[in-house]
Amino acid sequence: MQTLEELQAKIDTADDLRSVVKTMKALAALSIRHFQEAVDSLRDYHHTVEFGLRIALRNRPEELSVAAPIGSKRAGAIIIGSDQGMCGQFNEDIARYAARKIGEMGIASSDGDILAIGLRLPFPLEQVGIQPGEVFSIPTSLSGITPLVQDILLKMDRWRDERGVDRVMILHNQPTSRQSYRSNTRQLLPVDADWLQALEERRWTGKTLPMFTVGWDSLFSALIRQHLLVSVYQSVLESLAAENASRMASMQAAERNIEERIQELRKQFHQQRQSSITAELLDIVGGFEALSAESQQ
Amino acid sequence: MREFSFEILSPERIIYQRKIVSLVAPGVEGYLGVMANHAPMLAALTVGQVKSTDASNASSYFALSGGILGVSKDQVTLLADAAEKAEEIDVGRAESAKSRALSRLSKRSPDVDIAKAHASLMRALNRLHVAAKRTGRG
Repeated sequence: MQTLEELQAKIDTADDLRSVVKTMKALAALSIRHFQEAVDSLRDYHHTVEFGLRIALRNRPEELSVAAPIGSKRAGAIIIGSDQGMCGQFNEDIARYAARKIGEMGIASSDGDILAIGLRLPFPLEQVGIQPGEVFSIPTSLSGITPLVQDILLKMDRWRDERGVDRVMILHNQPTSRQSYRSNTRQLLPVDADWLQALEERRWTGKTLPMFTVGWDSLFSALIRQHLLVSVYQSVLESLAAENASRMASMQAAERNIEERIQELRKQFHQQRQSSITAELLDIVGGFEALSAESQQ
Repeated sequence: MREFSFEILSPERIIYQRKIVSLVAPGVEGYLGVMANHAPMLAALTVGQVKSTDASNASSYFALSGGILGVSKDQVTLLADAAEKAEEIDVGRAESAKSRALSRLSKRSPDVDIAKAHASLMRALNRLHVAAKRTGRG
């Protein structure tokens, strides 16, 4: 049986743990808000990119068509997971989803056309038979996202130039509420031809169509690069928000378990204390009766 | 001189928003200048320095790592992959990034991503160049 001191020490430890879990929950909630605000502000940015694309498409050389490419040669996948623990099944969920999608896309799971984002992701990926060609770390703050996105875009350029990869998907979790998420695929390349067609056909409301100082190819490439930058950036943001949603859910469950444990320990402590008080009282009564019997004799 | 609205947007926030009288930005085919009443224009930008000057003739400098410049009537918007005001550049970090990139480029090993290292070096050199503007060295 545990002593009262041992039980009290356990209760103190559980209380400390509860404080840590509460702090982590608060941090996760704050991060979700920051990342979701950033997702909202991305819309303005993308709106301006769309505006530029409309101008470029209206000046499109006649010999070029906005049609879906025929017979893409090779596909690559970017899978976003997490660098940190305590976020439940976050990495395992995206790994299982990736295994299914990569099979559908016809990517060989060990030929190097798979980029994993998140240092804890390779192990769950290997468990489902996927061997990433390279692993990047994922930032925990907004300021670290742009350098990561630039590195991803460079990687996509290299895939295209060196390996002929012309079909790229990004697979990531996205939040559905403050404590849940679902896995999602976003097509990066080729750029959606229907979307470009719709942009081209949208009515122009201004008096004059803006001119551009560089060649059409350079401008269109720069705009598509911006579109890709926004798409990858949005995927990273959504994944980070989903990671924190998963962490919130895990911390919520941990907090509930700690509460139950503290209640159980307190019950044991009170029972133990009651038993020791009863034993002391019995000792006193026993001693008193023994002394009374001696004095009567 | 007539003023016009200028803003620099990055994917995560509005970096700069002010009325200015002139702007110089690094176009992919060379630096380009914009003043009020400029014809509507769209330009692709590369790594370089952005200089904006207000009505009091005070200039602000930014290190840009590429983007798009859109000019419409009295409104100029710069979409930046990343942009930092000269005063906000961490010179120590930029020096470290430069050293890391130079060291990666000097290795010439098949494990080194040359394109990535070269891009990092260009960004670091640009940030150092722009940071020097705040101390009057550039």
